[in-house]
Amino acid sequence: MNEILTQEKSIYLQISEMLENDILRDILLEEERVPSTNELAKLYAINPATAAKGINILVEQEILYKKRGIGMFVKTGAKTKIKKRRQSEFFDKYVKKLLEEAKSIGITKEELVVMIEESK
Amino acid sequence: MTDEKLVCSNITKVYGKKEVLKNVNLELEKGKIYGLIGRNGAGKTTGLSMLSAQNPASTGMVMLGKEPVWENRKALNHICFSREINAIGANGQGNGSRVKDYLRAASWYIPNWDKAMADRLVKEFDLDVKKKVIKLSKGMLSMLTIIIALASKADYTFLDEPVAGLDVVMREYFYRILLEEFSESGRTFIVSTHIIEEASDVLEEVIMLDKGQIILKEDTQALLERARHVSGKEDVVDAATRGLHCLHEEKIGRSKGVTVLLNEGEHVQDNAELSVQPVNLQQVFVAMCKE
Amino acid sequence: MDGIKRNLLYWGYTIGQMILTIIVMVLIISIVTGLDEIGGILHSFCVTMSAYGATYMLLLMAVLGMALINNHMPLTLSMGSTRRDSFIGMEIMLHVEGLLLIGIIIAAGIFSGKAVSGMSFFNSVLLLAASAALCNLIGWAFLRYGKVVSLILYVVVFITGALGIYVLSALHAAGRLGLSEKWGWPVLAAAVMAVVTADGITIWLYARDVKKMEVRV
Repeated sequence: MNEILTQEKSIYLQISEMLENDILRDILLEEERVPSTNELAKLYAINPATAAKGINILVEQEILYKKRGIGMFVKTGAKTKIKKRRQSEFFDKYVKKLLEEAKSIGITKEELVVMIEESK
Repeated sequence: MTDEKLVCSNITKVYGKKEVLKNVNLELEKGKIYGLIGRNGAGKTTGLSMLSAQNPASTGMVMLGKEPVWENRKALNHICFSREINAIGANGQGNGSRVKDYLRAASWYIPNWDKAMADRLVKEFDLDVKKKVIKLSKGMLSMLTIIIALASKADYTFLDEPVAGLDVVMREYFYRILLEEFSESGRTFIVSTHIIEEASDVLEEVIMLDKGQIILKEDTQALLERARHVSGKEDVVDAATRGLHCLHEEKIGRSKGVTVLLNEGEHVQDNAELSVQPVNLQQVFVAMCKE
Repeated sequence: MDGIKRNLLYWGYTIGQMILTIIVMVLIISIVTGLDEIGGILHSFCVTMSAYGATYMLLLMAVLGMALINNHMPLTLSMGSTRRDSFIGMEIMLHVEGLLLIGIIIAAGIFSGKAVSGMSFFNSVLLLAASAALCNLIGWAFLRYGKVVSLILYVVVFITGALGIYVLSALHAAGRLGLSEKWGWPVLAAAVMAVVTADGITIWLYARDVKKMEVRV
């Protein structure tokens, strides 16, 4: 929750990603309360509506859920869910880009595979 | 023209019982744009007024090369700190000075006054020279100060919050003409500002002032390259930043964020457990001033 | 010389403007009062100037004292002048232009038919030194003790001045002053000496404080 917001991406996307990271890193545990919209707004000096938008993305993905009158909580199984989703996005988000860049500077697929195998 | 350095040694300034500047040492080189950053009351204006001998220092000395600056017109002719307009405007009761009176006085006093440039800027800023100085808005006062500073052609020119009161378009215009004048003339400028991010790309070196002391003076880009924000789970962050120069830390639950200044050879690696992000000048400054 | 020259220009212009205000003020009074006079506006101007010029000058110089130190001195310093040059320039132009105004007052006197005697010379020196000393005194008080004290001083000086003149003229009218022709000169000479010394002392006091003056933000 201490990451810095940048201008490269929409703020609400950064908020939801930050919460996801925190869940992956065991900073937020399952069935634990996450900061409310207003708390997030205050923390990052952003509009509460923007913070709410970030949280809603996670609610829609069933990573967070609302306990009436208490607040937002991390759902059991959220960590696995996030990992799974990120795995499914991995090819599009990273591998594709990697291949494109390699191609543009003349690194062949074979060379790339060697590089990956050699790296730890 | 002079290529001498402007050196300020052991300057202390006391007003009543308050020590506004504490033993300040500073060396300014010819041909640089310096940014002077500090919170309200940090001593920025006082510092600039010591450097330009407009106010006497309690102890210490300012020298331009081998010439002391205090009461020395030979040195002062190379220095311009145009600021007074504001103060006079604020408490000058009934003094009917108009913008053109100020510009005339500047043309008399400033040895290398560039009238053509002043006229051009008056036109471009759309400043009414017949207007009384006390009736100028904050933005228009800023413009007048900027005009006098730029057209002074002084080797060392100080601008104290020149963009305060200017709108975004005017601020961008100001930085453009500042850079234009800078690259053509090789003069030295010190610009103090609170709008740090806008100025950050313009400033070659940044001087941070806090509670009357210089806490940092460094090349802006070098500073940004070694400033990092590290965040993640508390124990992971602690392990990664152990032994590093930590400016500021924040904790929320198990999460922790630390702003660090890396020294040569030091490194923090971004990984699955740790976010390592670059920070901008404003964030470095805020981290340094928060206690 | 360059440092003094620019100060002579600036202070000359600034003080000159103020002196011009007196002349214009008197001119306006003359236009109002001189319309139905036989001698016309010019004659009326000369009479007014000769009669009240000195009083106006004293009044103005005291106000000028505040404006010079509060508005103009900081401006000259912020434009890069040294305190020394600025102060010297101010004092020179204060005296030179004061003299100029006195010249105009005397000329107006001659024009309106007043006799000029040797006493006029002493009177002029007296007026110049008195007005300059007043200007310096008020300015110095402003610099050292602030606005309120200098304003109080201003009022006090004028009340005592007015009272003094009233008492003197009352005594004179009653024939009790007892100053014969024989004593008139020495008294005047002593007064001139006293006022010139006062001018010198105020300049000295003033200069001492200007040396370490703070330009306020």
